[in-house]
Amino acid sequence: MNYLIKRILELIPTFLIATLIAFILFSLVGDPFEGMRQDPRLASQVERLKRIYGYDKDPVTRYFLWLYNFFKGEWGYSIMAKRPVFNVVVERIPVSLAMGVANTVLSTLFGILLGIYSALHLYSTADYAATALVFFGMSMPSFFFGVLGLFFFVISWPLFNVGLMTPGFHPEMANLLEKTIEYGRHLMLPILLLTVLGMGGFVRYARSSMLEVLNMDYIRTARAKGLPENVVVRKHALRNALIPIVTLLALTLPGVLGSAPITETIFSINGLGKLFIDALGANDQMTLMANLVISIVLVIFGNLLADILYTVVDPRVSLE
Amino acid sequence: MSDNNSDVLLEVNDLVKWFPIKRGFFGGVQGNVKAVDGVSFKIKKGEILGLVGETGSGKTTIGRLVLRLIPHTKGQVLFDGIDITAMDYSKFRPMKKDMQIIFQDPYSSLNPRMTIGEIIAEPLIVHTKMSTKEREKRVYELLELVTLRPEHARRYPHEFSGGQRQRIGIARALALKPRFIVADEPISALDVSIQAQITNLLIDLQGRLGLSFLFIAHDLSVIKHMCDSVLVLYLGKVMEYGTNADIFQQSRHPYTQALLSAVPVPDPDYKRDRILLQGEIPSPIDPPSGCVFHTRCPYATDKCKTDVPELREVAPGHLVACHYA
Amino acid sequence: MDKSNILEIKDLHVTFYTEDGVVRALHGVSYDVPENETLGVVGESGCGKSVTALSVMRLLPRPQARVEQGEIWFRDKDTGEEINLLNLPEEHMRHIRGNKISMIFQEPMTALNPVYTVGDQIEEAVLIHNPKMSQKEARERAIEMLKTVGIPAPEKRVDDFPHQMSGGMRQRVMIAMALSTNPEILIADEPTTALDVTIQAQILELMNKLQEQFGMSIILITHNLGVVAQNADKIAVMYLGRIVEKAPVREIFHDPKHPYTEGLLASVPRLDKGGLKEHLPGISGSLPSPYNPPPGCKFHPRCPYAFDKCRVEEPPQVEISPGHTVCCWLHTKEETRHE
Ligand SMILES: Nc1ncnc2c1ncn2[C@@H]1O[C@H](COP(=O)(O)OP(=O)(O)OP(=O)(O)O)[C@@H](O)[C@H]1O
Ligand SMILES: Nc1ncnc2c1ncn2[C@@H]1O[C@H](COP(=O)(O)OP(=O)(O)O)[C@@H](O)[C@H]1O
Ligand SMILES: [Mg+2]
Ligand SMILES: [Mg+2]
Repeated sequence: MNYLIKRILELIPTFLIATLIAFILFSLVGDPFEGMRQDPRLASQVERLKRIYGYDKDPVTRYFLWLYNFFKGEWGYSIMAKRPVFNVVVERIPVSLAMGVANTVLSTLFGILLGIYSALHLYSTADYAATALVFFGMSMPSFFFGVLGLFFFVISWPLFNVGLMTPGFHPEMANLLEKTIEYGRHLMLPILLLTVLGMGGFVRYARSSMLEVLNMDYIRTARAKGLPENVVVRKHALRNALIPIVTLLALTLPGVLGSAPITETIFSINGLGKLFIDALGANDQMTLMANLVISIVLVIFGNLLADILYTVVDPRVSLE
Repeated sequence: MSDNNSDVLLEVNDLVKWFPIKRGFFGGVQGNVKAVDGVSFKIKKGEILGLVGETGSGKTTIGRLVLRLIPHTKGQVLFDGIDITAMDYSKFRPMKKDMQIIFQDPYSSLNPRMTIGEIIAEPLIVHTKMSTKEREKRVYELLELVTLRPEHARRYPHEFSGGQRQRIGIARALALKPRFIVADEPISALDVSIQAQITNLLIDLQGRLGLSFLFIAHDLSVIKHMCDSVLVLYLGKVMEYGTNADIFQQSRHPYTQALLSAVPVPDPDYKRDRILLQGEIPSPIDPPSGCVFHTRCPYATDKCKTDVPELREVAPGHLVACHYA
Repeated sequence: MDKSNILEIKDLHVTFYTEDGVVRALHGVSYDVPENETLGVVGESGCGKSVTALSVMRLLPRPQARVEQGEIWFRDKDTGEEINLLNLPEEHMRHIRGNKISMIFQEPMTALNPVYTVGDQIEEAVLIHNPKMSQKEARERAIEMLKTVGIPAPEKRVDDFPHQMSGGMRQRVMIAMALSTNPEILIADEPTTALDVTIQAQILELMNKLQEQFGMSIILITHNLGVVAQNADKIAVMYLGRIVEKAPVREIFHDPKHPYTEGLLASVPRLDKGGLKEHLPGISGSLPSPYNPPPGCKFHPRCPYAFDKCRVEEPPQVEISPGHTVCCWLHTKEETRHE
C-alpha cells in the first residue's frame, strides 16, 4: 500500500513537468490574444484577458497562475468559440467518449480474440486472414480509409449518417433511447473504421504473446500432467498470454477520449479530436492547451493503471 | 604462498564488493548484496588458480573485479605490484592488454555481424599500431594456435559449433599476448567431448605461453584436473585456500569436503563417505552470523553461530576458515 | 513384452520436418525399462534423448515431428494389459500421461507456471487423475507430497508461487507433482543439469529414496556420466539418433565396447584418478550436423578405429554378452565384417 501511495505521489511531478513543457512550447508560439485586436468588437477585451491570464507577467508566474486557474475549472478563453475553454471542451466530451469507449472496447476485444485464435490455429485460413487484417490496419492511413468509407457507405449507399446532429433533432427533448439511436446512426461508421484500424495492433500483439507462451516449458509441464488440451490452453496459456496485453490495454486509456482527430474531422463529428484540429487552425492556444492536458492526464493515469493491473495479474510483481 | 614476491603476478588483498539494493524511483539504499566480502589470494606467473563455489558465491564478481570491469568497494588488486584499483583509468587502459577474459557462453559473446577475422583483430586495432598486413598475419597465427583453419577468418560466428566458438573466444583473448586471463566457466556450456578438447587446449596454451589463469568453475573435477592452487568460496568469503593437493587430498574445511563428496564420479563402484549438505546457500543480503557456513554445516557448534572463524594457515600455504580445522 | 520390463521401445523412428530441412532425430531406437529399476540414458546434446522421452509421453512438438515407425509397449500394472502407446487414442493416453508415466524436465526455473501457486499445480495433477477426490483431499495430498520431497514447512510453502522458491526447491516441487499420482515410470530429463552439485546430490538422493518408497521405474536422462554411474542399473548410450551401446552399469564403465562410449569416458577429468594437467584422450572432431549426417556408421568420422566398412554401411546391433549390446563393426563376427 505504501508503494501505491508513493507511486501516486510520483504522478504529481510527472504532471507538472509535462504540463510545463507544453506550456513553454505554447509560450514560444507567441501571445494568443494579439490576434484578437483585428476584430473591433473584441479589441477592447484584449488587455483585460491578458491581465487575467498573466500575459503581463513573467512566464513562470504565468504558469503557476494557469495551474491555479486550471484546478479551479477556469481553463482560459477560447478565441475561436469566444467562450470559456472549459465549456467548449466539456461539451465535446460525451461524443468523443462514446466513440472512444466503443472503439477501444471493440478493437481490444476482437483484436485479442482473433489474435489468440490465430495463434492456436497457426497457418489456418483464419490465421492468414488475421495477418492480412493486421497488415491492412497498420498500414492504411485513417484519412484514406475514412474517405473511402464516406464515399461508399454515406454517399453511394447511404447506410449511415455523418455529422451531428440530424437537422430537427433536439437533444434536450429526446429521451435516452432516442439519443442513443441518434448517436449510433452517426457514430457507427467511424467506430467501425477505427475498430478495424485499431484491431491490427492487438491481433498482432495477442498472437505473438500467445505463441510465445505456448512454447514455454510450463505448458509442456501442463501437458505432461495429462491435462486435456483445452485446459492447457484456457488455464495455463491464456492467463500468461494476457499479462502483457493487460498492460497494453491500460496504456490505450488515452484513446478513450478523442485520439481520433482525423476521423472526427472527416466525419464532421464535433468531438475533442476535431476541436483540436480546429483550434490548431485558429491558433486557439488555450483550447489546445486544455486538450493537451486532458491527454497528459489520461496518459499518466493509464500508466498508473498499467502498473496496478500488472500486480493484479502477475504474482511475480508486487506493490511492495 | 610464502614464496618470493617477484614471482607473483596478481595479488588480491581483502577485496570487497557490495552491490547496493535500491527500491523504487525515489527509494534509497535498502541493503547490500555482499557479493565478495574480504577475499585475498595470489597468482604466480604461469600458475592457474581455480575458483569454486556454489552459484551466487561471488566467483564471477571476483573475475570482473580483478580486471576492473566493475568498481570495487574496498581492498586492493595488485597486478605486477601496481594497485590497479587505485590508479586513474587512463593509466590503467594500457595495462588492459595484459589481462583478458574468456566467457562462459560462446554463443552470446561473439558479435554475430562480424567475421571471425574481424572479431580476433578488433583488440589489435584498439590497442596496437599494427599495419593491416601484420594484423592479418597475427590473426592467422592465432587461428592456428587454437587449431582453427585460416579460411575460417572470413566466416561468421553462426557457422561454427559451440566448441569452435569457444576457440574463437580464446583466440581473441590471446590476440594481445596477455600475461593473465580470467576464464569464467569456459567449458560449462559445452558438450562432454568438446569440454575435453577445450580443456586440453587451455592447458597446452598455458604451458606454451606461460600464462597465468584465474579459472572459474563449479565442476570440481575440472578444477582438480587443471588448477595449481584452489580457492573455495562460500557467500563471498574464502572457506579454504591451498594447493591442488591441499584441497583434493587433505581438505580441512567441512564445506570443501561436502562439495567433494557431492561430485558424481563415473565409476559405479567408487565408494566414499558422503556429506549430504542440507538446505541451500543463504541470501548474501543477510548472511548468517558467525561462520557463514554454520547453517548448513553438519559439525556446527554454538561457537560457530557467534564467532567468525579467521582464515588460518593450518599447513604452509594451506589456509582454512574453520574453528575446528 | 519381457516379463521383467515395464516399458519397451522398439525400433523407433522420429523425423522433424522443419524450414531448414529434414532431421532424422531418431533412427531405430530401442530400449527396455526394467521394472523398479533405473535406466540411464546418456549422450551429448542433440543425440535424441529428449525426443525419445517425449515420444513415450506422446508430447512431440506438432506438426513438425512425426513418428515414422516403431512401437512403444507399456505394461499397465492395474489391468495387466500390454499396450502400444503409439496406437492409443489421445483420450486414453491422457490417463497414462502424468498418471502412470510422469516426466520432469531440465529447467526447474521455467517448468512451473508462474501465475499459479505450487499447491494449485500439484492439486491439479492429482485431481485430473482422481476425479472423485475433493479439493480438500487434493490439497492434503499436495502438502503430503511436498513433505515427502523434503520441503520444510509444507503447509506454508504450498501457497507459494514458484518465483518464491529456489531452483532446487522448484525441482523438488516438480518431483512432488510427478509422483503425486503414484506413477509406474518417472522420466527425468536432465533433472539436475541446471543445479549446483550440492543440490544435485540432494535431488538424486531424493529420487533414489522415493524409488524405493514408491516402487517405480526411472528413466534418468543426462549427459553426465557420473550421475548415471551412481544412480542407474542399466545404461543406454546414444549418438546421433541411435542407441550405440546398452549394458548393465558396471559393464559400461568397466568394459565399454563402443568407441564412442570409450571416448566419452576418456573425456571427463576425474576426482578419483588422473594427474594434474594430464592430456585427456577424449574424442576428436565435433558432432556432425543432424541435417547432413555422414554415411555408414554415424560415428566413423570421429572414430580412431574406423575402417573401410564403417564408412559405407551402418553396423547392426549385436549382443556380445547377456544384456550387453553394441552397434559397431569391431564387434561383429569376422565374416560379416569383410563381406
Ligand atoms: N550487478 C549486480 N547487482 C546486484 N547484485 C549482483 C550483481 N552481480 C552479482 N550480484 C550478486 O552477487 C552475488 C555473487 O554473484 P556472482 O555472479 O559473482 O556469483 P557466481 O559465483 O559467479 O555464481 P554462478 O555460479 O551462478 O555464476 C550474487 O548474490 C548475485 O546475485
Ligand atoms: N522442435 C524441434 N524441431 C526440429 N528439430 C528438433 C526439435 N526438437 C529436437 N529436434 C532435433 O532432434 C534431435 C534430437 O534432439 P533432442 O532429443 O532434444 O536431443 P537431446 O539428446 O539433447 O535431448 C536433434 O538433432 C534436434 O535438432
Ligand atoms: Mg558466474
Ligand atoms: Mg534434451
